[in-house]
Formats: sequence, structure tokens, C-alpha cells
Amino acid sequence: MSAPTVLSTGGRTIRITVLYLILTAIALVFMVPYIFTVFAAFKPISQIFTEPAWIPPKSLFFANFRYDFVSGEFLRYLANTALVTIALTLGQVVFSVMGAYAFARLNFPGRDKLFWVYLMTLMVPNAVTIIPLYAMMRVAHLLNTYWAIFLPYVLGAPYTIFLMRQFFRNIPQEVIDAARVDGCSEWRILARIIVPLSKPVIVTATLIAFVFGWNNFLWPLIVTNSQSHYVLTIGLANFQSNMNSQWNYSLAASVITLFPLAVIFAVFQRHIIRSISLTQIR
Amino acid sequence: MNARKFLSVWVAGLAAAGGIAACSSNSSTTQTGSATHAHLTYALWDPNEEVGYKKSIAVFEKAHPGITVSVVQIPYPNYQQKLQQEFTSGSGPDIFWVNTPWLSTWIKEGLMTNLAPDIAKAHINMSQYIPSLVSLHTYKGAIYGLPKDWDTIAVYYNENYFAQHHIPVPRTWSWNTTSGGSFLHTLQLATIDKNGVNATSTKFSPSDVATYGAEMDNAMQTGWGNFLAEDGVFTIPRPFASTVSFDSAKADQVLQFVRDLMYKWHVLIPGSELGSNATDPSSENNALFAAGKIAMQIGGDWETTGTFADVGKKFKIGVIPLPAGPDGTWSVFNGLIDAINPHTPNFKAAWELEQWLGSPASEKIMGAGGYVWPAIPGLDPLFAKYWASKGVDMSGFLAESKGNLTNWPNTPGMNQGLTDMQRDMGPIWLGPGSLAQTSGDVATAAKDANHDLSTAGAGS
Repeated sequence: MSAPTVLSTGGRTIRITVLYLILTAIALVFMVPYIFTVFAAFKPISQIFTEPAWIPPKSLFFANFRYDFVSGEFLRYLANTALVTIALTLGQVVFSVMGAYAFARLNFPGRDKLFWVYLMTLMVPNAVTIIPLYAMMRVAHLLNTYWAIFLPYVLGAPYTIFLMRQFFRNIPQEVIDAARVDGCSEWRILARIIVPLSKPVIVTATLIAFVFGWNNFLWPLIVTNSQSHYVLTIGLANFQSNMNSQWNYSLAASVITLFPLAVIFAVFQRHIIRSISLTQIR
Repeated sequence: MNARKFLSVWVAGLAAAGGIAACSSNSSTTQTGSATHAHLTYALWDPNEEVGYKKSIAVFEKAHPGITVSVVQIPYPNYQQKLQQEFTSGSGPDIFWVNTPWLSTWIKEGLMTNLAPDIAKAHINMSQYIPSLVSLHTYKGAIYGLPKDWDTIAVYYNENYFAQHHIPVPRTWSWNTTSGGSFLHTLQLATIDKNGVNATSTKFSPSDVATYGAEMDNAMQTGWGNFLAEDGVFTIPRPFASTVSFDSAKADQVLQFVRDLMYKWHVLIPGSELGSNATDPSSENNALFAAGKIAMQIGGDWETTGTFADVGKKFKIGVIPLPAGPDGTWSVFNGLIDAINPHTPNFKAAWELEQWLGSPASEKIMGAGGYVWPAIPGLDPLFAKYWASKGVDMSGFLAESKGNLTNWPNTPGMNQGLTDMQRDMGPIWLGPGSLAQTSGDVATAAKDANHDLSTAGAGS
């Protein structure tokens, strides 16, 4: 009986080794572009072109970053991006909590129909709404302001409301009923019961909104007309001409753009992994 | 965090954003409070030229105290989309760059002001500009902008590499589809395998090439458009034509020749090295040239101002004209204008800026700074002189501007038509053998895919 056990243990070790090798290879495939980007960001353009990308920089060459921050105005873009992303995230999360609570726990005529109609807007392509939205911003004299960049997203997003509604529906109705019997207003129920019990989904929604806001490109490009209001993604794209690319500045700018997101990922890693299970439809 | 705290944080964040927003000005909206003051937005896409135009505009603003200008740089891949969305919503920059691929469509859609009456009124001498640049931007008597610059296509070569391998620099060279001519011979001399053997030798190893002679991308302007023209084949028969005209036996021979240079003679780098569909979407050819993977690069003069300025510190770069085909040397010729938004409330100020940017004084600033070849021929030596001081001899481009030129094919829908053609020509660039797609297939695809193109004939 011992021989098969040895064999199966050996077989298991081989299987695990092979599995880990495959996973390492896949991880490398995903990591390599980022590693190359970081390497290139610290090289002068002539080295970027003449050396293979996998060779690390011989010394840390900061001129690309200096150019981005001094001539390329990336400090301003970084501040603009942080500002509009924070405003967008805060607004989207607060209003999504309110909307999701109404759709999940308040009774009013046509609630579910209204919810599904609202959810259907998820299917409407961006291109359909972009011109009317632009026209609205123009009429409101908000073009080329920070308001224009985040306002369309600030009053909640269908996907976030859907996610929260599903989560709120799993909170026992008895808890809410008990609070109502005790005289709690709906606002108080939301603040004291729903929000504390829903921290995981709120963190998830915050991360989704933050990453969306940080990476948003087309809308800020359409509604801004001056460098003073540009965000990081526009600054990054501006290194691309029709037949000429400023790769050294562009790659350093990519590192500047990625860095805050990487820090956020490192800090909120646990929540992000939990959010993966949360985003499964229940 | 309770809801009240949550809300207060949100309100504080929003108030901060709003506060800063309130401090900002809407530079796309012109100020008309004072009759003598106007604020213009000027849209362009090139970050290198932006530097030069800002210098020129600073001079303009000094001379016109009542006018201020915001230069708005928009990434090229999104330029057309952004502007068209702004125009659709009744907005848009006051004055903006126009590239030829969009020219006809924008004329058709009425996005540019006809400046012919203002030009006549201001007695602007249009004969000071290169004539084909004027005709490129003229349609049925309407003129949509003053020419500012031009570009031709030539061959950059690595002077150090040529000297090291004792390759004679071709001053006059030619090709034909039968023997390949001196063009093929030079490419063979410049294509060297990892054992140091060049492609003229029987010991040359095509599977182990260290440096290819050159590259040619799957692009009308910097690739096949020039070589087809050199054998009498043009993308469209005339401006504003409703048909494409390169679907011919001659075109197939030229395309087969290009393919043979890659896969039979192994002297042009394979198309697969030039990005998606060999269209060079990320300036792959610049990187290959800088890395010494190709000894020559077929390119436009605008490439000198960007990465080459730095790469030129590694090795000396020279420029020679394109090799002559059976019909001589032909280059695709293009140039930009500034168009004025027909709905601008600041037409007078925009017209002042238009005149300035097309004036000898502004073109002198742009030429002498090495940003563009001025559209006024007398100023061209300034651009050549700037680059000569940097060790780059740009006379090859200048020589071409005085020879046979074929304008960018200008007809409504041609932008999409060319995209479709590039897509369908991909197989020609990407594999050995005989043509998988003939020019006829490609032409049909371009015509079928584009309604605008097939109905553009009204003006022809």
C-alpha cells in the first residue's frame, strides 16, 4: 500500500510544480510590460531605442520625469486628476448608496420597473450620450471646468447601484423593521444600519469609481480646452503625434500615472480581492 | 463612517473642486465684453510644432494687444473625433489645424470658413506659396486656409553604418520591377547578416539578418503611395474624384516587387516588424532605425524634429531622395492649413491670427527654429540651415519638393477609404509568396466600404 502513496505524493508534487510554473509564466506575461515601462522611464531616448527593453537602466536617469513635471505640467495634471477623481468617487458612492437603498428597501409604485429601466442605461454606448452631454455642459457654461469632467458621473452609476442593491437586499428585513418600530427615520436607518453593514460593497464601489475616474480619457478630452484643466490621461496621450511619438516622456508619464493606482492597490489589496467575489451576481 | 460624516466629506470634496472650478476661466468661450478684446482657442496636435507655434503666437499677441490666444494640443488619434463632437454641439476652437485626410469631408460638412473673399480683400499674394499647396486647399473657388508648411518623403540613412561598411551613398538611384535596379543593389549592400556577409553574396544568410537595408510601411504617404506614383499609378485620378485608380496590373507589379524586396531578396525588413498590419502605428520604424536594425528609413521630414533629434546623437543621419521608378522620382506631398470655425464669434481676430500664421514673418520663425518647412519657398533655406547646424542634411526633402509631386488623395471619405485600403493590403506586407490581395481587391473594398467616396464625384 505504501508504493501508491509515494507515487501519488510524487505525482501531486509534480502537478503543483507544473501548476506553479504555469502561473509564474502567466504572471510574468502580465508583469513584463510594466517592468519594461519602468526600465524605459529611467533611460534617455537613445538608449530606449538602442537597447533591448529587458535591460535595466545603468543609472537612474531622471530627465524624463523632470521634463514631464517641469515642461510637461504633469504636477498640474496629477493634481487635476486627483481632484476630479476624488469628487467623482465621493459623489458616486454617496448617491449610489441612496439610490440602491431606495431600490432595495423603500416601497413605492413602479420601483422595480424603474430600476430595470435605469439598469438598461448600462447598455447604452458612451458615444450615444456624449454629444447631448457635451451640449448640456455648453448650455450650463461648464465647458473647460472641473465640474464638467466629473458631474456626469457624480450622481451614481447603474453598475454600482445594481451591485449595492443586491448587497442591501441580503441584509435581513427584520433588522430594518425593528429600527422602524423603534422610530428610526429612513435616513437614520441608512446611516446607522445599512452603511455600517455594507462596508465591503462600499469599498468596492469606491475602488471601481476611483479607478474609472483616474483612467477616464475621452470625456475629459472632449470637455476641456486648456492645459490648466487637463488630466493625466490627456497629458499622456499628448505625447503621441500623428507620425511621431515621444516615447521617453510618454513612458515616464505612464509611471507617474500608474504609481498612485499601484499604491492604492497595495493598500487596499484585501478589499480588492474581496470585491472580486462581491461583483459576482447573487 | 456614518452617513452624516460620509456626506460632509463628500460636500467638502465637491466644494473644493467647485472652488477651484470657479476660479478657472472657460477659455473655449471667447470674451466679448470689450469690442477690442478677443480670446481665441487654437487647436493643433503636434507637441514638437506646438513649441514653435507658441513662440510665433507670442509675437502675434505683442503686436495685437486686443487678442489673446490659447493653444490647445489634442492627441492626433482623437483630434478629428473631439473637433467633430464640438462642432456638432455648435462649439469648437476658433481656429484649428486641418490635415488633408479630413479636408474634403470637412468641406462637405461646412466646418471651415471660405476665406477667398477675405484673402482678396486683404490683397494676400497667394502666389508667394507653393502652388500645389494652394490648389490642395481650394475647391470650386473657395479657399479654406493659408498654407503654412509642407512635407515630402525621402530616405534617412545611417551615415556611420554606410561609412563602416563602405557602402557608396546613392545620390541618384532607381528601381524597376524586372531587375530591381540600383535601388535593390544598394539595399543588398546595406543588408548584412550576423556573420557580416551582405545580401549580394551567396553566403548571405537571410534567416539571420543583423541589419536590413531599409523598411517600407503599409502606408500611402510614407510607403506605397510614392512607389506606385513612380510607376504611374495614383490612388485617385484627380482631387475630389469618386473612384480610386490604383487597381491596375502595374500596381500589382509594384506591390509584388515590394513584397519580393521583403521575402524574396530579404532586403526590406519584414512587414511583421512594423506593427499591426505593417502600418507602423507606433513609429516602429523610428525604433528599428535607431536600434540599427535597418540602415535606411523611408520617412517624412517631420520625423526629424522628434525622436531623430536625440537618436542623431548616437550616429550621424543623412537624407537622400527616394529612388526613381520607371516614371522618375515622385513624392507624396502634403501641407497643413489653419481653418477658421464658421461659427466663431471672433472671426476678425481669428482672421488676424490666420494671416499672421501664414505670413512670411511667422513662417520665418517656424522655419528658422527647425519646426517645419515653410510654405513660402524663399524661406525654405532657413529650415535646411537649422538642421545643417545640427549635423543633418535635409536637402533631400527640399530636392523632392522641386520635383514630381503627388498630393495626398483628397476626396470625401478618403480618410476611411485609406484605412480600409491599408487593412486590406496587410496580407501583401505580412507573408511571402504571390499577392494574396490584388490592388483590384483592395480598391473594391475601399469603394464598397465608403459611401462618401463612391458618391464624391460631384466636384470632379
